[in-house]
Amino acid sequence: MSPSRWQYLVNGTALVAILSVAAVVMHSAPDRDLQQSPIRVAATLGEPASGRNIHATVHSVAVAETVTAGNGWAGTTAGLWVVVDLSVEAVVDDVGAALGTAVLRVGDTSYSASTRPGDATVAAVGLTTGIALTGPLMFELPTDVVSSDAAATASLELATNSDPRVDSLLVVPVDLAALEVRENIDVDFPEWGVR
Amino acid sequence: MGSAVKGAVEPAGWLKRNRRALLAVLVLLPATLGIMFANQWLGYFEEWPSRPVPAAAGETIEYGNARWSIETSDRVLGDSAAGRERNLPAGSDLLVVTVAVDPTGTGPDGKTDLCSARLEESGRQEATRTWSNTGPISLDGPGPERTSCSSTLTTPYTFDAQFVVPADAGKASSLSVSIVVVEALPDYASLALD
Repeated sequence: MSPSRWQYLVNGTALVAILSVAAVVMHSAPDRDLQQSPIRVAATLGEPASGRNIHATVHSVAVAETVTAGNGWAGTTAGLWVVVDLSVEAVVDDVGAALGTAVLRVGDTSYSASTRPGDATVAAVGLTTGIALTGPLMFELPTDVVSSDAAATASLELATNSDPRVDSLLVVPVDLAALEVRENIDVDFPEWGVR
Repeated sequence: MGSAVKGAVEPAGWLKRNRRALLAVLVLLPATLGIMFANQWLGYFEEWPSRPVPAAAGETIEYGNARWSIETSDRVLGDSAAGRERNLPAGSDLLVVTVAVDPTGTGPDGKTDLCSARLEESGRQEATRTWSNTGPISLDGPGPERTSCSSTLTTPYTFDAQFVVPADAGKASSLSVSIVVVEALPDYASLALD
């Protein structure tokens, strides 16, 4: 019995449908970059947020012309300081756990937390499991960046790896444009334990 | 009335005619799946970076070039006088675990085993937590004389591993100390605490 014209039509339609689905799957499946990208965890100012091996709360953000760190270091800059006060701890493991990624992203530009204040910022201290370390992060930014349009949609990114791919990345939106520029800020030395 | 429709296949007849093929499928399919799973699982276990060699509380275990056991474990509460003397962070305790080491030999370099000790908490609903011996938190006051293994002592000795842990650690969970000797990896000793 030879196939009828209808059978040819049905077979052809089925083939086109399968090829179409395959094309959609192929073009919508995650590529290598997306597969290896950080797992972004949306966080908000003042609220705790957790990732695989990081638990953090950003308490406040301020902008100042100069800062005086808890170890007495006085920071002057040609730009401005963005001072972030936060609590952070490791969740499961303290081996190699430090705040490897502490980045303030403004538009397409990212600024790493300064290590100029030495041990007076949490950027330089190893974390421990389940015990919070509370203290400042200090970012040195050009003055015009803080007043730019992108400053209103800046974000603070935190992770326990310097390379946060395939790991949690806490992302806290920060409106830098809404912050008053203060003359000087005195910040506390990082402190362990419940505040 | 009466006779079966000509050409219809009766189930019993079909099973009988295909019994050899069905038997082969019944044997070969589970065997194939079994071999594939076994192969993958064996590879998975062989590629583990480490494997615990467990010891119950109070038990002595042979591991590396020594015998190991937990002699004592003391918990210093953060809000106690001793805790304040060590300047423990608020909401934390200090767990001091005395590990007894009885060297039974030396490594290729002629020295006894160096080691690292970690505290592991399991049995919680959340993920397992671990802490390093003498982690990043600096403590005040006089600490123990020896906090890790010695590569020179050939007679039995003890060392005190110190772990600063959250106050809830070990309250509704089990704690054990993991001893790692690099030359003995991927095995590591896992000594349970009381």
